[in-house]
Parts: sequence; structure tokens; C-alpha cells
Amino acid sequence: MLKLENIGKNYGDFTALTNIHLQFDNGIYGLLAPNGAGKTTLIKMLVTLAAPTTGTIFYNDQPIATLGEKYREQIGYLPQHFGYYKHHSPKQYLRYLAALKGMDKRVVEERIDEVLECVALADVKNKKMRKFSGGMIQRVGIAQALLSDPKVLILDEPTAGLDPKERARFRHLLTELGRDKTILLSTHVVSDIESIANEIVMLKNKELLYKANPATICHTLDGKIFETAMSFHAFNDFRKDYLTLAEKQETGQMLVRFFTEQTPKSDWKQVSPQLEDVFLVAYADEQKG
Amino acid sequence: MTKYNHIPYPTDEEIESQIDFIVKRGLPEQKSFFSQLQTLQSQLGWFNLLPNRNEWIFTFIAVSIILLFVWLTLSNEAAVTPTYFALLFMLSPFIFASLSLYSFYDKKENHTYELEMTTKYTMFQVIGIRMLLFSSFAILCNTSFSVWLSFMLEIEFFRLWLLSLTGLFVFATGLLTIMKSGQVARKIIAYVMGWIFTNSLLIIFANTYYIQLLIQLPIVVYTILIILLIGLFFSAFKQMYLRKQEGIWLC
Repeated sequence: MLKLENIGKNYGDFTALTNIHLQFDNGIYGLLAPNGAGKTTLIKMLVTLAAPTTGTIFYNDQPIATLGEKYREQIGYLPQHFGYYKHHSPKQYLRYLAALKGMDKRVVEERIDEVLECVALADVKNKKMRKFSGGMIQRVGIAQALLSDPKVLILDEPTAGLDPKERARFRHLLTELGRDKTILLSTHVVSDIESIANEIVMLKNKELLYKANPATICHTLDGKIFETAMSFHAFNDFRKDYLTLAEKQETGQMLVRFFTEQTPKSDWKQVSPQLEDVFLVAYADEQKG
Repeated sequence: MTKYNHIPYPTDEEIESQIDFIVKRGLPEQKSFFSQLQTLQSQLGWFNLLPNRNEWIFTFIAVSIILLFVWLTLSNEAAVTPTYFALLFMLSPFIFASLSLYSFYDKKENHTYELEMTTKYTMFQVIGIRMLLFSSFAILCNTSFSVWLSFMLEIEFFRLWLLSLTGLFVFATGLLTIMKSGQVARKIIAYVMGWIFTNSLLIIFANTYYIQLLIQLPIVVYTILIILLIGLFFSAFKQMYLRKQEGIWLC
């Protein structure tokens, strides 16, 4: 179990995060926020790349700073920019990382084959990574994060570069793993986590905005999301007065999904809020800016 | 109440000895620092100490350049002057420095450091082991160079050898001290530039005094200095090896 108590991080005068209290048990947690909201800072602290300026991070009730390598043994990490040696094959690189992870040499080869199978790279395991596509490299990154069968899996933008089929496969893999691991998945792509996350963590203005299951978060917008149809001309005026969340052209009209706290009009149809709506509403001011 | 008064209460010494016994049996045995290094080396294996082919190529080129330099100098006996003392002191750490610093550059260039800092054995620890390996190699090179120079200048080998080792350990201890703290990259660049600049200034503007000092410093002083420096080297090495990993690339 990971527990963050009063976590804050400053870089000189700049505050990257403040007053974060969180607890992660086994399951999948989606860390959702736009770029610059402090996601990567939070992740860097969780993987011990950065020390919090205030507060303490605990793993099974012990500060991770004290646990040191004992904590690092328990984590699998995929950085946002996954680095690799171009002349290595996936197998060679995973062997190297297995040594750094302190894995038992007797099980390494078998485990490498297992994780490469998991990410569908078994048939290219001995090919140099120099010639790999972005998606293949990302899959090597996912494989190395899983290599030591860590208890805590921290993935920063793991689906970047993956095609829809690979994304679906990845979500399925995470669902399986989430049963006995703590998985923290940082993304700004709502669809990556909407269906698989047990809880969503949202950050705003360097602070924690929500930590709840997707349904609970969506309920915060109950009665505030509507759809209506209008002409193209009317739409230009409409968007000045309302926060539009999605629009599409349909039979010569605009079908608009929007957020408002006003009393609904007769031609507005109330709809169920989706996580994407919550994201757009929560960060509307930042997107305008 | 009275019957309990007859139970003999242990003395303070007995309590302390029992606590020591329980703690000793209960806690896992603490490995010594050198035993930790040995474990790490055996876990990694020699190949993984230099995982990137570029590092092997760089090592090969660096060693070739040094051998070429020595061979060229050997072939021109007239060029050998006492200034070589100062050069020996200044350049002794360069095999060590170039091999060690290239590892940092390589990790940063490939963006692998972020990953290699979050594994059980961190990049610092692996680079630490490499530095020990490189320093052994640098000692070998310095010894060979000192043997050759002692023939050329007809000066006792031991003095030259100690001089070159002093240069190596002064530089290496300084480098390790820098690596204990944050903002490593910027500090290392400043340190290497400072080393070259200061030594060059001394060679150019205070040549005679500087060389006299290097030549005439009694061997016993060199020996004491070396012992002291080796102690400082391992102390700095241990602190660097066990340092927290945060903040290494803040430049």
C-alpha cells in the first residue's frame, strides 16, 4: 500500500505540487490531468527520482526514503520518455535491466520470454531495437516495467505511440494485473482509463481535485450536461455563452454537447455525464488559457 | 507481592547483553561495504558494467590515444623535459576521468538514466563500480608511464609513481565529492575545467617553482599524502555510492 501524506514539491520559487494526501491499495488508479498539472512531478516522487519538499511517502507504513532499494525492488516504472540502447535487442536490454533490478539469474530468461510474449514482441526479441517503431519501443518499455513482477506499477503515458489494437490489448493486460498490484497510470487520454480504473485521481492548480471511482466523479456533473441541436450560425453565438464539450455535424445542423448550471430550456436534452465531460469542465479555464 | 521479590532481577550488564543477543539474532546480518560491492558486481557481471557498445568503443579509442601519445613521446627523447612532471600530475587522472564521465554522458544521451535510477541497483552504484575498475586501470597506465619516464629522466621510479598517483587520487576524490550532491553535470564540467586551468596556469607562469616543488617534495610526504588520499577516496566513494538518487541531473 502506498500512502502520500501532505506531499508538496517546490523547484526554487515554483510550486509544482502542494498538500497532496493520497492512498493507493491494490487496483488500477488513473492519474488524469492536463500537461503541466503536476502529474510527472508526482510520479517522479513516487519512483524516488525526486524528493518531496514537504510530507512523506509511505510504502506499507514505512517511508520510501528509508526503504531505499527495498522499495525500488517493488516498483516497475515506465517513464514518459523511455530510454534504451539502440544496438540492444529487447532480450539483451531486458537482461541488463533484470541485473539492475537484482532479479534471480535462474528465472530471468524465462521471465523475459513471458513479458515479451505479453506485449507481443516474442518474434522480434533478438532484433536490434534501432529499427523498431515508436509503438514497439513503447511495448519494450511496458515489458521492462513488468519484468520483476513488481507490486507497484507506475506508468507515465504508457499508451503513447500504441495503435488502437495495442491499446485494447494493454488495457486487458492491466485489468488482469490490477488484481494483486497497485497500478498508477498517468495519462491525459480519458479513454485509456475510463473503463479500467478503479479510481481516478485528478489534479488541478497543483492540488488534488478528485480521488474517487469514475461513476462518483461523473455524478458531480449530474443535471449539468445537455445536448441540443442548432444551426451553424447559432452555434457560433452559443459557444460564447456555454462551455461546449463536443459537437458534430448532423443533417445540416450542429449537435452540441455542453455544460451549464442554468435551468434547462425545452429543447435541451439532459444526458449522463461521462468522464471526458468532467475532464473538460474541470480544466476548462486552463484550456481557454 | 512478596513472592515476586524473590525473582532475581538481571543486572544492567545482563539486560544489555541479552538485548544485544536478541538484536543480533533478530536482524539480518549487515553486509560490509566491500561485500556489498562484491554482491553488486557478481549480480551485474562484467558485461553489464559497460552495457552500451559506445562505451566499449570509447574505452578502446581513449586507450589507443594514450598509447599513441606515449609511443610518440618515447620516439623523441629530446622532447622529454622536467615539465613532464607537471604534465604527469595534471594528466594522470585523464584516463579515469574520460572513462567515468563518458558513462554519465552516455546515460543522459540515451535517456536511460531515468529508468536506471529507479531500479534496485541505481546508476550511481553501477558507475561507482566502474569508477573503481577504471581507477585500477588508470593506476596500471600511470605505473607504466612512470617506469618509462624514470628511464628517460633518470629519476627514481618510486617518486614519479607516487606523483602520478597523487594526481589521480586528488582528482578522483574531488570528482566523487561532487557526485555526492545534486546538480552533478554542471559541477563536474566546472571541476574538470578548473583542474586543467589551474594546473596549466601553474605550468605556464610558475613553471620552475611548481616543478621544483613536485620534484623535491620528500618521498615520505608523498607516501603520507597518498595514504591520506586513498582513505579520502574510499570515504568519498562510499558516500557517493550510498547517496540518495534525487536531483542528479538538475543543472
